[in-house]
Amino acid sequence: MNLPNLTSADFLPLLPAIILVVGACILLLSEVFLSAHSSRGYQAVLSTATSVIAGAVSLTLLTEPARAVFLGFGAMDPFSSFLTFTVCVSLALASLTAAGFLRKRGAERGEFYALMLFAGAGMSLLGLSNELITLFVNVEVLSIATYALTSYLRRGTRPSEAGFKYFILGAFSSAVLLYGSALLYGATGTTLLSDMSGPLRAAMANNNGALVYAGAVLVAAGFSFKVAAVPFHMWTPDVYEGAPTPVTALMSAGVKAAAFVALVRVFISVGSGIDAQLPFAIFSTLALLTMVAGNLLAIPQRNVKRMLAYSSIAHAGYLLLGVAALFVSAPGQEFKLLGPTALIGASPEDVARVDALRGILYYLLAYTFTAVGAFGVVSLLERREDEEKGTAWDLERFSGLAQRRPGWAFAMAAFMLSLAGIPPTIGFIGKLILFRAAVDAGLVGLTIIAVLSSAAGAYYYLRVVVYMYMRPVPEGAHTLERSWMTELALVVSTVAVVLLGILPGPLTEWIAQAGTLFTR
Amino acid sequence: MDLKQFLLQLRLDPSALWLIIALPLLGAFLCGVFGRMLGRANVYLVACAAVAGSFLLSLSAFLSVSPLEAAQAVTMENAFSSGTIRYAFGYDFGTWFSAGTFRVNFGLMVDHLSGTLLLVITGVGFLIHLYSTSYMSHDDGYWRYFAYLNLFVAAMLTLVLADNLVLLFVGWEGVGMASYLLIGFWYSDTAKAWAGRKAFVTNRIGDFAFLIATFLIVLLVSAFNTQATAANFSMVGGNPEAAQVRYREGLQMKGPVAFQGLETMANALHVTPEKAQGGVNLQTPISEGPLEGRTFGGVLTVALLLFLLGAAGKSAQFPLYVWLPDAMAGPTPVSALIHAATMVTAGVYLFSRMSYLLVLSPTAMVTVAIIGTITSLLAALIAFAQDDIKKVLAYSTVSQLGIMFMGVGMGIFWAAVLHLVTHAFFKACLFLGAGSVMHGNADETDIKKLGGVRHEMKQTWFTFLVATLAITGIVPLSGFFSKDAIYHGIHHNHLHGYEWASSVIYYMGLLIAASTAFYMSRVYLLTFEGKRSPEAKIPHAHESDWRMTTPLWVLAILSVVALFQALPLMPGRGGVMQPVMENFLGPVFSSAERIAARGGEVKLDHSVPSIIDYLKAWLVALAGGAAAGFMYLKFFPSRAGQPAPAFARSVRRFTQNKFYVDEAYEFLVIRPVKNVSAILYKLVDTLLIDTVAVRGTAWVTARLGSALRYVQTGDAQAYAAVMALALLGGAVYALILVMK
Amino acid sequence: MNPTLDPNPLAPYLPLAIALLLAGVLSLIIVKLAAALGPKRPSSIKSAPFEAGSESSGPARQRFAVKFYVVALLFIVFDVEAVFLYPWAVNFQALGWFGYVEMLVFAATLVVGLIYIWKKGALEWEH
Repeated sequence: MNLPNLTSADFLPLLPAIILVVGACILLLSEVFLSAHSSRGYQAVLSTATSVIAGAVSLTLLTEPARAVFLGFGAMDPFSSFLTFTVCVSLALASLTAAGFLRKRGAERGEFYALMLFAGAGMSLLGLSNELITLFVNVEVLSIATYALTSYLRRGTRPSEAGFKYFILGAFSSAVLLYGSALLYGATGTTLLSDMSGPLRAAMANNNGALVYAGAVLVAAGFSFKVAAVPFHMWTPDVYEGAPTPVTALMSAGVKAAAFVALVRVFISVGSGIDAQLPFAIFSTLALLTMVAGNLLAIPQRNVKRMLAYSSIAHAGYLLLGVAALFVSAPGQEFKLLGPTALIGASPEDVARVDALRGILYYLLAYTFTAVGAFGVVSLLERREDEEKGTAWDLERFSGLAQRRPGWAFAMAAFMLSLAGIPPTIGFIGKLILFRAAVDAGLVGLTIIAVLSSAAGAYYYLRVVVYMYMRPVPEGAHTLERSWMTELALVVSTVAVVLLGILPGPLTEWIAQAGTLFTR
Repeated sequence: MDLKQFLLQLRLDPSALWLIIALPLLGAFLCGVFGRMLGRANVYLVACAAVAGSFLLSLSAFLSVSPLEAAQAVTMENAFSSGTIRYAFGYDFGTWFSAGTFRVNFGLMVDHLSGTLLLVITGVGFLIHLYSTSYMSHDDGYWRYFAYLNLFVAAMLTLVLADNLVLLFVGWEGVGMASYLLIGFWYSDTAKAWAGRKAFVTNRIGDFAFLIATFLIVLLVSAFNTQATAANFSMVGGNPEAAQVRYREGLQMKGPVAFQGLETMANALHVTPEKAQGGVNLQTPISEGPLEGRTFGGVLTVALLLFLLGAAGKSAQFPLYVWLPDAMAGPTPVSALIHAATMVTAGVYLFSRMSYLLVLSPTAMVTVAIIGTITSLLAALIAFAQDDIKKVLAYSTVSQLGIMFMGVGMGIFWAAVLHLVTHAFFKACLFLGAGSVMHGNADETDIKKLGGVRHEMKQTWFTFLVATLAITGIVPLSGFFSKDAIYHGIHHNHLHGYEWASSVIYYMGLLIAASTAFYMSRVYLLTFEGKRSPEAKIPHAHESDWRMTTPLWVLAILSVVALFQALPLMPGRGGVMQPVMENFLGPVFSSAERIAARGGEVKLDHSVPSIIDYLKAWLVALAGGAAAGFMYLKFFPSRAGQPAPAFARSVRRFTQNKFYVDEAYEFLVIRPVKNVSAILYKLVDTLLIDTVAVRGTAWVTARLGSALRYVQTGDAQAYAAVMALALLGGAVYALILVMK
Repeated sequence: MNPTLDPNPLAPYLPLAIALLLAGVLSLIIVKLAAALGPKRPSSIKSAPFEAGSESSGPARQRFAVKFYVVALLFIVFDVEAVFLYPWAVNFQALGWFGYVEMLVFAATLVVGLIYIWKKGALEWEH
């Protein structure tokens, strides 16, 4: 019998996910031995610590050379390690936010953090997946955990509605993804992504193009749901609004990052076997629709949480612009392993593609810090009593915040500037790198639309700042409860947003490494 | 252990260079955020200690690059060519930001030029911090003041230490902001707040030009990188092919705006096609990009002229000098530090730093020199009739900066830098002296209402006298030597195609020197000599305390001893003795010298002034001073009560109103702009932009957004239907693709 | 690798199809046989279709007990565990220590789940 020869090197990339799962199991087991009145303050600390450790481990993995693991089922490369780092950042910040959020509602339970960590493990593994079935299983791992998290506060109607919608539509999209994978398998006879380009070419030559194209379109649609690209975005505002705010933060940052990384990995493999025109057409159309519709829909929103949901759609659009930039060049050209030094003497197309890859990673991390921070401020301001009335997230809540809680207002202002892409914030640098890569790739028209739509976006972001700094405190405003854990998350995000906006250097160096993707 | 050994041990590690900037920045943070909590004494301590620490580090950095022994001179690696840079050290802290192939590093560098400026900034800066602790002792905004002052020092140090244009620009903007904050320090006074705004707006014009110039340089570098051949790099040293590869690596590593890279490019650019052997020369057209078809020389000249506009904003040169006299609204120590000693010399520093580019374009050089001359003469004449002691000093600063620009423009870089240093000493001394006079005379600034102060303020009087003699150019004070070195250089250097400039500017310079002597003597005489004016606010002046007089003494002594830098004590080329400063700054300007010698476009002279030259300059200064002495000691006092003669009145009216430059601006620029802008406002702004573009777009976007909202029904089945429709669309597209 | 295009790609699945057919026929026979042989005492409740303990007809918006589903889900989890254990047991020798440790980790993970549901009270019918 032919046995796979697995070594510890195969398990190395799993380490962050294993750490996350172990932390989640500890949280689960410890929870059931607690009485209803036991103190549960340690849970958020444990969850944060687990995420931080996993994040640190993923950083050390960044220098590992790119290679296939588990017989090609997984791809260990700096690209996936950087994703795991981003996921761990969003997990840690969301855990800290959840501490204040859950305590305010008396809903602290170990299961909440355990589910977040399970979802995180799914995201990390999704980044590694280099095989269609593994990919699908990990999509489900992270999805099922987030379905449960969405309706975690099951007493209200909104969370159940949100959870149900997310589940039904998510199941629909999973089915679409699976169907697409099946068609690709049917056309090529393999599920290993790195083995796919040859059989794909053969299938195209054998008049099986319809199968391949239908598969690619279905897979793209499945991922479009996860990244909330227009027109697969419809669930986003309802679900983001109904879900507990820390979960919304995790969904908008971590889930999206993982889905983007998986999408890039799948389509780089698929795109190397077929005419690049198809992925380019798909992603540029999605980018265009998503940027424009996301920003337009956010403008009339007075509900800040819903506005941030639409804003997250718009940001997915900018990221899709980066994805589209990957597929501009000549059809059938394969991706090479391009490290930071290998770029000397590389063709301009290769340089532009690696830049787009880096831009996507940078933008994902920038968006993680900013969005999780912004949702953190939202979670501090909201009260359970107002939720059913629908006023918990009204813009009016932000009036005069600068006088009442100057620290929170400053943090929120920094996040809004960063989302709008105004210097000196990390969001500006992210947009700079991403848009520049798109221009270098030749997507001038789309980039102009991106810049214009992000300028329109500044309107609704700055409106929050105006409310915080230029409106008086409304009469009868209730007291604002503090939570040191959530505030710690705000401090960390604010420092990251501003500091990396002023000194992006160290991060760009890392990203320069992380732009390395395993291909064969 | 002997002194030399001891000094050698004090060498600063290059990786610690950031501390020089970080200390004052930390001070600014502490004073600004915790200032009120810390209390007055602690704020003084923090602010002064921060600058003092920075000074000690700067001293150590300076000593590290100073050639104590030629054999032990420090060298640093040149990222752009195979050679090393002697007498300099630096540290690259890695990428600051990068986008695509564009990259800016956070790199700091000390060479003899920036080392000298480091000492001036932190040294004079510390003295002025010390002085301020007394000067601001009655002001409640002390913590804000010291936070701004520390912030300024940090920004100025960034400007000087930067090893690339973009980082330099950060410092450039930083000093502008600190200056704006300090001019408008007493912001509750509308006039003072407006003065701050005027400075800011004027500077913005210059900064915009600076930015465009930087973009041009970036484009120029990338065009050079694509078009240059190995023939270009034959002049850089070593094997040409290897040198070109090395240059590419340098660009890859440090980006296009690093000074080392610009220097290498300047060295590699041929001046004329004859010697170029097919390599890129100044007449080569750029082959691609937005500058396609323009020549390298043309773009370079335009970039340098834009830098000149930028420098004119920061260094108060014609036509952007108008903000500086108004900037006297700020506290007097601020005027001494920012608007006399350091910030306003940034333009001179910029051109000295990029001397190798400047010598490639005689047109740019002569423009710099002419702008300097016009500025200097105009300001000197305006200073004739100003009665506000700070205004006179302000115009005098503008005039002296003009002299430095004349020097830079005519290629006598080392003397311009020397004058920058000596001017920092004596002008800071004058400003602080003026502040001391104001402090002791109930804030009186009108020199007509002072007089006879020498008897009551002996220390202030003596130091002010020394500084006055220095600025007027009396032997053997430092101002004489530095100014004369510039004039001598102007007279003997020649710019190809602009040979007339040498003598014209030289004789204008003599006129400026005489005028300087006249108005400075006038200020001194009216303030300190004669009898106390009956219009004085208080009958008796009082001397300031030690915290104010100590800086005065130190600066006065420095304005005397700085003269040794101009003495020909060092062995130069060909056995001729060379001034100390020229020798010291030699490594910095060696590229410029080499390029000038190679191209023949610019002839740089190295002779030392003769006794006759000295005598001529001295006589001019004496004549100016004597004229002032005659008029203000003999002529006007003897005619007390009588109206001044008609000619004096008309001259006076004209100069007192600053040649109506502000009015001319009002008439020629501001009012037309206002009228045109009013029309544009009505037409473009209100109608087109506000109504159609802004409100229209906003209306359409908002409607569109609201309309799209109706799609968002909240019905999960509808959502699934939309997704299915989109899928169908994708499938149809794929089908079409397959059919093809 | 290139996919070798089989003239009849469904051929390997023929035994499966036969098995399916057999299973269907067999179950049909058993049901019919039971109906033919057994005594019949029909009541309204008995003749209603069985649906996991919930009312099979009536308004759509009624509440139903969730415990049936919980038990069914938990059953499936451990059922699947058995499915995974079976091929391992067959290849126990070949997989060796590596397989043993792998399987221990797998079982331990499920034990964590078991402890959790146990302590949570999901296994108690009357709650």
